Amino acid sequence: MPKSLALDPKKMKEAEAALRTQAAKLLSEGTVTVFLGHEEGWDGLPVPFFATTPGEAKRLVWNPLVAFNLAKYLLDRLTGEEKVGIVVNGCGSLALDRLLKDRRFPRERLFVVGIPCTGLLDPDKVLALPDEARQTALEGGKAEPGLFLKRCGWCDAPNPVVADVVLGEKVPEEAVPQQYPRVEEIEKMSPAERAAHFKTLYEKCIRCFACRNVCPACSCRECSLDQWEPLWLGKATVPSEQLMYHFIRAFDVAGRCIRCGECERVCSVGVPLMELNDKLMKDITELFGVQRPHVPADVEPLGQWTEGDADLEAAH
Amino acid sequence: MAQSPVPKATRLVKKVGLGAWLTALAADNDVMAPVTVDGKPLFRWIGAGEVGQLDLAAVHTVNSPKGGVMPQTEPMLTYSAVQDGSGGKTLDIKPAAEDRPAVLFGVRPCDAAAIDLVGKVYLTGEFTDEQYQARRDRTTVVAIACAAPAKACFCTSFDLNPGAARGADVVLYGRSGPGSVAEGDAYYAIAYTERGEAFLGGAAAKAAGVSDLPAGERDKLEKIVAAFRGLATPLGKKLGKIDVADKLEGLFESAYWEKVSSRCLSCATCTFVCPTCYCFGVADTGAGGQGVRFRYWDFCKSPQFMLMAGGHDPRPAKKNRTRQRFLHKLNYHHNRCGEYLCVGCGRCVESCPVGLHLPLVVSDVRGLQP
Amino acid sequence: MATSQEPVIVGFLCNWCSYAGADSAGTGRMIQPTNVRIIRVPCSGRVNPRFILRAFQRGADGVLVSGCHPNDCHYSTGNFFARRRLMLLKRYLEYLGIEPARFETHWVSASEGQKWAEVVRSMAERVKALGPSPKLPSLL
Repeated sequence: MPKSLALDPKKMKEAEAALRTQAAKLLSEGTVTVFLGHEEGWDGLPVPFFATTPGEAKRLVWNPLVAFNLAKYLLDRLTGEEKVGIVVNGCGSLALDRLLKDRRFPRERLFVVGIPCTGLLDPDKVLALPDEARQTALEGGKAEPGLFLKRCGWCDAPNPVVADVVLGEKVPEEAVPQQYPRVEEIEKMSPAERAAHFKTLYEKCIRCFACRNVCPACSCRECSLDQWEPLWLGKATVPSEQLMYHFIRAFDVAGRCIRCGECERVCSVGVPLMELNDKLMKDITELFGVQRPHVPADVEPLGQWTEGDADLEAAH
Repeated sequence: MAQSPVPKATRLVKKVGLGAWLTALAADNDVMAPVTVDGKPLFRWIGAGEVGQLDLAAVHTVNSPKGGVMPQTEPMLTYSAVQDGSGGKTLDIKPAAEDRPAVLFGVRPCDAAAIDLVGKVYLTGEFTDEQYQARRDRTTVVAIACAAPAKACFCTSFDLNPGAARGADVVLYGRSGPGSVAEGDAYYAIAYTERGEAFLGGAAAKAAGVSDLPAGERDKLEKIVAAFRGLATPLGKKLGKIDVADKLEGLFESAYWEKVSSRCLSCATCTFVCPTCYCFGVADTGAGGQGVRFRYWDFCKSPQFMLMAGGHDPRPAKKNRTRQRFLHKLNYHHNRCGEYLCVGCGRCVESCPVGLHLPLVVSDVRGLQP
Repeated sequence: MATSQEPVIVGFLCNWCSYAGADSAGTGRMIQPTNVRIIRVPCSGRVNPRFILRAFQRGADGVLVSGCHPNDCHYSTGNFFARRRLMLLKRYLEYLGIEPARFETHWVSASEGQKWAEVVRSMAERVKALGPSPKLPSLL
């Protein structure tokens, strides 16, 4: 867990004010035609919001509950030449960088407002708190480690990696060794236990595709798992297809996953999806020496090779 | 539907007997009940060994029990190519094997009402879905009146309430009245259909000690039932009665749909947790000369939902698909059947990752210029 | 389908080296068991992990990928990408509960008919010792 993890609602309020001013300016000057951010929704929870006028920019919020990666919404704005504004924190900028490095959106059409981050709270956990405790966490800045988003626990990129303008001071960067304790637990199980573990896990899955649709590494125009011809993924929600979907999607994003855990967070039935992504990241580090596999690189680990890569034939 | 159904039988069910009841039922029936799995309350089929995990306090489940009458994947028929004795092959087609009778236990009144609502789609009109009919006929719905409606509940915005009996064969009312599910030692079990009456009088019920109503409690029971039925729901209070069907007639071309749809993720979360969503697709799967034709839940948010052979798509954008969802729920169904295609369970409010839910659209539509 | 205890092994063989190598094992009348069902691909780099998972799900007891030796790929680098990808896949399959010996990758060149026969023989033996692979329930 990074030492810098601490809520600072006062700083976030200042950033919010600066954000509203900046976005209103960009919109009124015509630099961008739309600004992607958040506004307050049901029960105080922020929801994605796309401001198109300076007046609407006043509705933008920046508070400890802004957990969404907004970058995915850029894919709805591929046609046209207009510039799009977007606000990102650390992990939000990783999501954006993922899409940029996958060449899914042109950098020239973006105006990125970056806000350095010292931690965000898990909206579901905060909503479940009694009102007083909620207030203490959100406004008083007193939140226990368990209330933070899971990803804050391994965050080593609190400052935006992509930004045209940065609001607020940079957060001191610290190296946070990436660890995968749950993966290690599962690796210790016997093969039969593991098979049983994954089988019951995916029985919960309702195949809603929320995990895929929210994932910044999943940006194909047509998902191969949606295709009818060939039918890679059968429509039946039986264990073989459930496993196929999750297993293949995790592998297809292997090396490009930013470890944001949004897949797990948006899953309505609580499938622990990161157990797959973390395993692949751990192996990528061990096999190919990639120390920070969750940070987008110019060429992703599976898109390159070296002569010295482990001899697969001898691996059995 | 404004009239309450007439009770056919009334019993007392002690909470301590519930485990034995479900275990006995599980011997001959597929039992679906609420259980909490890794912190998430879910409706699922439980085996006899899992009866101990029943969690009636988990009545506000993430998913609905609609899978009990509309399985997410339901085989319709099997086919196999067989030798016909003269060197050729013929296709042998058989209807899918029938499942055992089912009991959906611990269903919320909104979910039970939804089963009835959706049942009208499958069973009335020009065409009766026989497979659905057969399944519904062998399913008993045992509802439990809501002791404590959740923040997102709004069944009272429709012709419903936390103690309603629509769609249920039996309703369980906590003997100590609304307040906390944990309170009280027993339920009043009221059967509203013949199936429910038979259920309460059956061998499993007897084995669980389901007994007659104690003398002198008739008055108390009626007060308790009235108390449940008079409960307010938090979001229902805010929304009041839903009234937007007519206004929506003139809003098809409104710019509103583009705005509200922009944050949709196009996933199936709202559709699959919703107890009144019923669209399905049909597919075949086979190999080596044999196969299965099955139906599966489909979702209108999918870019493929309306995709036709040849590539034409009458709903090419999120705006079209989001509009479709809410017009179906709040206008089309109302026009065709006289009621909204929603029971106010609140799951879309709780589950949509981006907060794009029915109460939001209702509020927005009320404020729109026609 | 596996019958009488003989494992079914699905093999993805690259056209230029391994398929030719397997072919030369055949024309050379080399003794080898018949467990491998060969699927020809242009390059080992063509092999997508979903092929391998599907093979296991549809009843394969073992899956084999064979391509040109590293530095000898007909498309020059295809097998290097395959090496990384399939190494990761091997560990991943193990994580899911599939025994690692069920999935192997070998490099067999067009002139290595002898090696091919040995690869097939030894893999069939290893997979047979593991028994049939459990199939995940599907509708069929």
